Amino acid sequence: MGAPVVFYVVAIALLASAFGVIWIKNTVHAAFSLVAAFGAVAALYLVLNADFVAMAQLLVYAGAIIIMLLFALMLTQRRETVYLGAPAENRSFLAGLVATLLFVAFVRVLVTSPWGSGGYSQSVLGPLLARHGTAFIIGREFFSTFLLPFEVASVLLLMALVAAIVLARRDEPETPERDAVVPRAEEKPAAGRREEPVAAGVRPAQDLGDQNR
Amino acid sequence: MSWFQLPLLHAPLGLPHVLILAAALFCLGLYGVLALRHAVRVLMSLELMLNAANLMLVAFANYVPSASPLRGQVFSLFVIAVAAAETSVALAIFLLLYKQHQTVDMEKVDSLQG
Repeated sequence: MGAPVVFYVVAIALLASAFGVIWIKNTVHAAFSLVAAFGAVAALYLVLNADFVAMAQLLVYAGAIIIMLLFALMLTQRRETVYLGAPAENRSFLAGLVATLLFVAFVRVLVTSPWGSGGYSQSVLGPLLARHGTAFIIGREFFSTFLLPFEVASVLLLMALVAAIVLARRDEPETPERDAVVPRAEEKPAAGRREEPVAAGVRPAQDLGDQNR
Repeated sequence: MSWFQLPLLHAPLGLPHVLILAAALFCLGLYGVLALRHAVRVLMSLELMLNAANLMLVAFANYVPSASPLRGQVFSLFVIAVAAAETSVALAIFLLLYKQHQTVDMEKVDSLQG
């Protein structure tokens, strides 16, 4: 690894923005913090001799996935989601305990494994990348050894595209199917807000005041 | 070897540092998945966990010698593709959830609890 200073700066930025994703109250600001985290991971990929993966990370994660997340946030906004920014109080302690114990277990495994020693500090890709770039070798792998997984991944992406459209399209004509859900919802005492005229795309005017929550 | 007698501070910067960083990122994401209430933020934390796994794959590809190098990077590209598919379907499910229940609170979505 070239410059240790670069690694430490990027690592601190990555952990800080990951903390921000979880503990920032405003969900849209948390999404922007997630952009910073993805950018930091892309910088780490560059440090680790993975320039093609870094560009794919920037394009797919920091571009497409963030846009989809922001659209989902925009389409599911209500006043009641203001308090949803913070972690749940009843599960926060247990979740923190599980995460901390898992981290301790990770460190324990790393210390007892051969990877924890200082033996792996030289990049093995240097002489390889002196002849070709990573895009050359990755492309050759995709179209020779991993041809079948590559095609399966493309079919998977197509299926996800079609499934997302089918799931999220507006189906106003199918009111009988929607009414079948209503009796279950009306049993709950807090279900009175179902009667609010919140059709898709039509939002009450006072909800526009506190967006981004 | 004791628990936190890490050779990290003396060893040259390399694989263990990246693995510790990725483990910390994974555990932060796990905490978010378990504790957060907003469904979209749970998905964001899930993306953090996937990024941590990808970081480990790329780090192993960079530091551990193998007969076929760059396989780790190829695998991380597959992870990115599957994560994109998963995110699009999950966000469509969240929109549907919002249409049916008018909320994205994970605490309130308990229709399967019986």
